Amino acid sequence: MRFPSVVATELAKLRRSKVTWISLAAYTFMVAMAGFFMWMMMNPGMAERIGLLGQKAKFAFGGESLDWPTFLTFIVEMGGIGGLIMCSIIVAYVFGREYAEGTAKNMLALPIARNRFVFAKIIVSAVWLAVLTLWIIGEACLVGWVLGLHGLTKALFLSASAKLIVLAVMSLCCAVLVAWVAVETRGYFAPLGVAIFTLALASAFGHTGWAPWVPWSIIGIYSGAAGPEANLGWGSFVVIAATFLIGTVLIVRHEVHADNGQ
Amino acid sequence: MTSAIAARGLSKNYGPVKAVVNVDLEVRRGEIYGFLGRNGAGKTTTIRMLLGLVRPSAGEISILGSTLGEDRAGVLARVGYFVESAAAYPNLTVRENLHIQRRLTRAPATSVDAVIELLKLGEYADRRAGRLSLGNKQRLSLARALVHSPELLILDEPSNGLDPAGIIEIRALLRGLADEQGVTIFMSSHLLDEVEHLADRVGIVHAGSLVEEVDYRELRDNGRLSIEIEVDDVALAERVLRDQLGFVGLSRSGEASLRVTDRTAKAASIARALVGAGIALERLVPMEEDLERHFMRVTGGES
Repeated sequence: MRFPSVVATELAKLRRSKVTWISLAAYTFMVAMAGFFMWMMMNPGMAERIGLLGQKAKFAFGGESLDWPTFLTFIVEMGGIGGLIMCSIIVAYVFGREYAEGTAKNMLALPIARNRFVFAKIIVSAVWLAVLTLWIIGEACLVGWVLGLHGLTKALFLSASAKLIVLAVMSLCCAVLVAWVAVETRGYFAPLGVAIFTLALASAFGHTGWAPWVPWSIIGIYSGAAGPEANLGWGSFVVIAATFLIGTVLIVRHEVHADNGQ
Repeated sequence: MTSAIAARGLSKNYGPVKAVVNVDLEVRRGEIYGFLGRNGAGKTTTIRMLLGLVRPSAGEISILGSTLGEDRAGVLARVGYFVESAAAYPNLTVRENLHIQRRLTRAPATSVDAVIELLKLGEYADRRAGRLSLGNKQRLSLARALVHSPELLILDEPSNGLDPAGIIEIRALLRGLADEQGVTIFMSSHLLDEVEHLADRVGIVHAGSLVEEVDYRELRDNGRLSIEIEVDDVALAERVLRDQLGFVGLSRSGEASLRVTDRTAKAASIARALVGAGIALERLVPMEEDLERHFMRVTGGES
């Protein structure tokens, strides 16, 4: 069996799936919210009059310049943490659904090397995430244009887009462990619990010296959510790559060797 | 010709639980083999081992002449199967589900329409699998198993969820596949009626062990006659039947009753011998053992 055919069938399994639309809606909402915050900052008086902005929030927004760099910084920060959550949901669905829907036993008895399904599912998750990333880049451009923001340069656009793409790749690398939990526990719920736990972990280590070595905190640092002064060394990227490798090996090991007795 | 399925010393333990114990199984090519057992007897675990979904704790499996462990993909390409319960991608239509299977088994594009027609799924072909009734989901699972024209079908409870008409249709379909196309069918069931109507040979599994393999036609033809006798003197009657008639298959089935399972036993000769010996014969009932009685007897639950 040619590998592209396996990937094509994995893509076909997503047809009419609600989760694809939910993920798209979530990303759309995320960018819309960033635009909404920008609008409130640009129109504090109006926002206050209609009850959207309290005095406390006004102070919190103080000092931000209302231009493309600020808006894209918002988007990248949201893309970091939001992307990690969404990516976890995507892989939990792609891998866990076979067990939750009872089709794993059909899939694993097919005359195809089982590791091909694992790689195909990772590729499908990557394609899905790539579409979402392109979507938020496009939507951010639209929202920024509607808000009439200033200061957009080609370099700024490329830099923000590249950051979003790298964040998507990092999120996928980390989410592979969530996929392993999905196949190991044969369903959706445990991996989603693990995804929430990893966020708590990212937050707990986010402001400590360990942060550049904790995969989920690394995403926070890279997105800028941990503060503008935080920097990453090459070691952090090795940690992310190692997380991906370990996760992939664990999934392949499970799918190839584990009993599928339930 | 090699067997379609040959398993030797097949065992599976889950910790201290022995799910399957030392099963030797042989399914001949072109036959319908009914794998009969109560719920939890080890049928599904055995089927999962035959499909490589579960690793045996011990034993070897050969499918269509090849060892499963050595040529898994090559072997499974010739096998159609469904395990335990009907399952399909609920967001995809019947046709889309079948096309996925077709692509993954490298079957021709026309095979999808062919199995849709064969399983009478035409009306539902463009309906999402998640919206099918249980019976139609079962048909879809059968269609999925057949899409690549397998030489061997391994089916776990194939008539689950089907209505009576559906059961009869599927039965006819499976019989036709075996008789006209030479497809070997290994089907598990806990329904005696289903096996009785379809199987050429029956393997009875109980508490993880294969307790008996019987040729169902032989069982049906010979009827495994037993004769129940009620007399006033059981010990004397036993002696008379052993000594005068040379019966070996003889057992006490109650305080005043005997059961003759000897195949040569005839009711008339028993009556003559007992009355001739002065024994008061209260009751003499020839019992034909059907599959139900046979199953209950060999699995330790007398009917």
